[in-house]
Amino acid sequence: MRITVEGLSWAAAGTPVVRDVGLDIAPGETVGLLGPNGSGKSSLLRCVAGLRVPSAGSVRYGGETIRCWDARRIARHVAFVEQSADADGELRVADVVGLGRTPFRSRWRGPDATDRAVVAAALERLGLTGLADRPWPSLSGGERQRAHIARALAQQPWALLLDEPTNHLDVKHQLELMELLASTEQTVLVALHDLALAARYCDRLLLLHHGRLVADGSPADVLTSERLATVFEVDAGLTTDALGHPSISYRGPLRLSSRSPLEGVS
Amino acid sequence: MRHPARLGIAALALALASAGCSTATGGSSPSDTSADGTAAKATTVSSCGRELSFAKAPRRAVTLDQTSTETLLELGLQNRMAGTANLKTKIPERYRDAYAKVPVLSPKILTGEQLRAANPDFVVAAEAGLYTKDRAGTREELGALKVPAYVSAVDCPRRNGSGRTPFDLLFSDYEKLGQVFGAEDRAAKLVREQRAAVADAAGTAARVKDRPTVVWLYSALNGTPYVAGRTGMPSEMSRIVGAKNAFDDIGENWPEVSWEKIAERNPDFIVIGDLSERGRPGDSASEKRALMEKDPVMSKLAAVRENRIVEIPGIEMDPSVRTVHALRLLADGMKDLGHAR
Amino acid sequence: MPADRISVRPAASAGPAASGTSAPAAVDLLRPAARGITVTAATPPAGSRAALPRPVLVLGIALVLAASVAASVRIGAADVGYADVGRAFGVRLGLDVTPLPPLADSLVWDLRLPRVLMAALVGAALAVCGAVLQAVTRNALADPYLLGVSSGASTGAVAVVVLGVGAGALGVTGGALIGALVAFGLLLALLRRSGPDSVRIALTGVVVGQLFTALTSLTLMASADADTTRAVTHWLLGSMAPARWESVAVCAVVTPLGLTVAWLCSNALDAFAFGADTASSLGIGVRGTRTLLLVVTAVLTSVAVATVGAIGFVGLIVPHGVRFLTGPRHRVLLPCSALVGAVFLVWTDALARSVLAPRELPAGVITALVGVPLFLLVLRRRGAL
Repeated sequence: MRITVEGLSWAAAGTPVVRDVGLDIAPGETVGLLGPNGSGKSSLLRCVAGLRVPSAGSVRYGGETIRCWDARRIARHVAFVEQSADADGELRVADVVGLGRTPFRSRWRGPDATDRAVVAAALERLGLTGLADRPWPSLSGGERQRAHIARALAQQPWALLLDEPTNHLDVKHQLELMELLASTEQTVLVALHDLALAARYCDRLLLLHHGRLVADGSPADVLTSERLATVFEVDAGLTTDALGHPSISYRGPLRLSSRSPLEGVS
Repeated sequence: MRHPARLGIAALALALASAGCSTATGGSSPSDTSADGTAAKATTVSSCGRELSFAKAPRRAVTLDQTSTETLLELGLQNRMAGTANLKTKIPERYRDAYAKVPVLSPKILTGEQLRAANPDFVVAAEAGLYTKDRAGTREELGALKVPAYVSAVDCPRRNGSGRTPFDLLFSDYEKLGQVFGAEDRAAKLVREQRAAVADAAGTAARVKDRPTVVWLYSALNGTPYVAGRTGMPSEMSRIVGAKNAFDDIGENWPEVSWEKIAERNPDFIVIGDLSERGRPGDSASEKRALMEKDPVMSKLAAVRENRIVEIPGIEMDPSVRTVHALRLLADGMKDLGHAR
Repeated sequence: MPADRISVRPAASAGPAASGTSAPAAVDLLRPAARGITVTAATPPAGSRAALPRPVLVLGIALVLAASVAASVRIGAADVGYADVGRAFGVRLGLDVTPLPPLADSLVWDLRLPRVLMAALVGAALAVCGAVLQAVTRNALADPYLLGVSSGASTGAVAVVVLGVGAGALGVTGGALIGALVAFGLLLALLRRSGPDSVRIALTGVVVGQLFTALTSLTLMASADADTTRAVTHWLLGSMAPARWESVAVCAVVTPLGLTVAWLCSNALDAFAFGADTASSLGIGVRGTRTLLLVVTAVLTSVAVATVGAIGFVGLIVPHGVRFLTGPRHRVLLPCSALVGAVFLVWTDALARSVLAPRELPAGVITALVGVPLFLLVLRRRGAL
């Protein structure tokens, strides 16, 4: 499913957080969303997921604007995974993954065989089958994150929107997850902190800085020393590794620059 | 009382049978003026907005509070009572034997189930507040069950015409109850006695110089004083003996005020309600005296310093057959304190 | 064959359900294109619990409820036998039975039966309201009175009893109902601008509750004499004694309706577990659903409290106890909470009537005294969550 965003702006309590962002994600692409903290990644993702109403601009799924869509219709197109969604209570992993079937369930009937089969498939895909019966509070951070992603997959979505899903995961699970995202046929827009992961697994990268989109292209195009210095305020060198992906070697943080933050390099 | 429902049925059957027998013997004998007479005439009385009809005199009356209990016992009606409830203090000596003959249905407020289980044919209470759904049941509900529910006239002064004093209303209770039970003579005697007592106390008023003000201190729960307002018996008693209730301006029975307010009004003397029988902290008269003497403002009052205090049992300040006793104590107190010659 | 590539038969091929006539295609169920596929292969539920299947559990508790009602009708200051109940029913059905004497009949029919039925209805309503509010506010300590509705009911009741506002037409119940709805209206008005966020609901409810509690106290202090205060305090503690057929009828209509609406929102209630954004992303219209659930809760609680006063603890602990039995999914939790709440209150009311006979204790006292040990037991079994 194609996701198109035009002139998107969003403000929180009067302060602009996302400024005039436009992007176009082709069906099946795996796109990484990068930027330092406070650059507006979460807010942009939420606007694309239909969870926030933008103050300007539009979001389209497959060419159709979602402004008037209700939550259920959106949920049948797009699955969203928050950064660290937590719950009290004794939900089991299977229950949490089962929540992903909500957009397809009518009020009147309970989960049916299809629901159960999809949930089982999602658990298997994320390696959680053995944990299906475990209560939520007993899981580690990484296991919880994987459960959320299994839930998103159980929605059988056309697109996956994920907000820093690799945060609590072991390296192995980080790589497994990124492989999964890269190989699914669904459109993926994933906000990431880890530049190396983004460089390795994403088809395209979007770079946000103070709410504006300052770069949009392949990892090699987007990740340059200059951008790393401007946006992330680090001194780093970039090379290409054996597989052709950009490889970053950090030399150290830069002191606060006196340059205006809006001087972007596109 | 394991199967009071069945007991009730048996009692009802017995009552019907005895009523049948009495009709067969041709009605009450001429010398029979006591309440044990089985007068079978039908009467109707009005009580606080309801007309209560009686095909014959009740034989299973239930009283919902101590005031009503003592009234019926004073009229010698213990053999016509099926139960009492809500006793607050000890029954006076002269009623004790009679009281012992009547089953005590509950030491506290009677519930609807308990009332029905006692199978009454008449219910008597001093205030309408006892006839609510969560207590004995409403007067409408009892009326639908053909059980007349009586409320003391003192509780509804506005329904009884203007210009009648609380004592008038109290005496009208005696007369109405006497009429219902066929004990008119006994009731009339009681009314005469009590009217004389009131007149006697009113005589004091003639000999009173000025009009001393009085504060009736009922209780000081948690240190806050409750005094008599305009609407209860104390105000009326004060008026009869020629005194003035200092809190006549408050239209409640027992409003909560403050020591400062009492001191402000600087009464000439103070009546303390002795509630030692209730037994809660601060209830006895001596504790109330101590409280007043300790209070920085009250202790300076002339009434407190000079011990111008009259003690009256608290229960007698409510409208009941014992109120005239409180009235006499008040009149005697005024004399002792020198307000009346 | 890995579980995510299980055998399915596409729904379109509704031909002879012969096994093995054609090789089943391996399908990736996690693709959106797989949506049209209906799975007929019997997949065991992932992580099947050893718990009882749901219909058995519900039926079991329902039977316990019926037995409790039957037993409780007999308990009280005056013993009532089954024969007496039968006769009371029989007369009204026009059967040829000896009627009970009018007062005994009134005891059974006007007082005892409505009271027990009312206890069941109120217990069910409060338990479900507690469960719903715990999910909506994501707060394990939420109970039906969190919205301040019961404080509003108290103010309404006190206004009628003490100030005599509309006393003739309304009565305590009517006043309490109006007070409750006014308080709820205030809550909604305060939430209008910012929307029913889970924390905001709890805080606003507390504020509204405090306001109306203060108004109640003010009215009592300013105008009531000792007797009225005592009467209202008794009501504030909650008691089944005022229940009559009229109030049971109202409850019997409102409560099942409210419970059904809440049950139909089970999916949404489950989805609220991870917060508003996740719920919204799962297709729940968060604001609308929350408002609907608040309205349902407020109405159920108002009707319950208006007649019998604020009976505490049922709404707080029954959902927790039931969750321990059935798990947190609301499709099962709500019906079971309703039934268990009903059983709980029927028994606590029976205890209130009989433990200190002939005195009658307010039901709210007993629910706390019985509820606390039960609650501690649940906490211990769960490892003191």
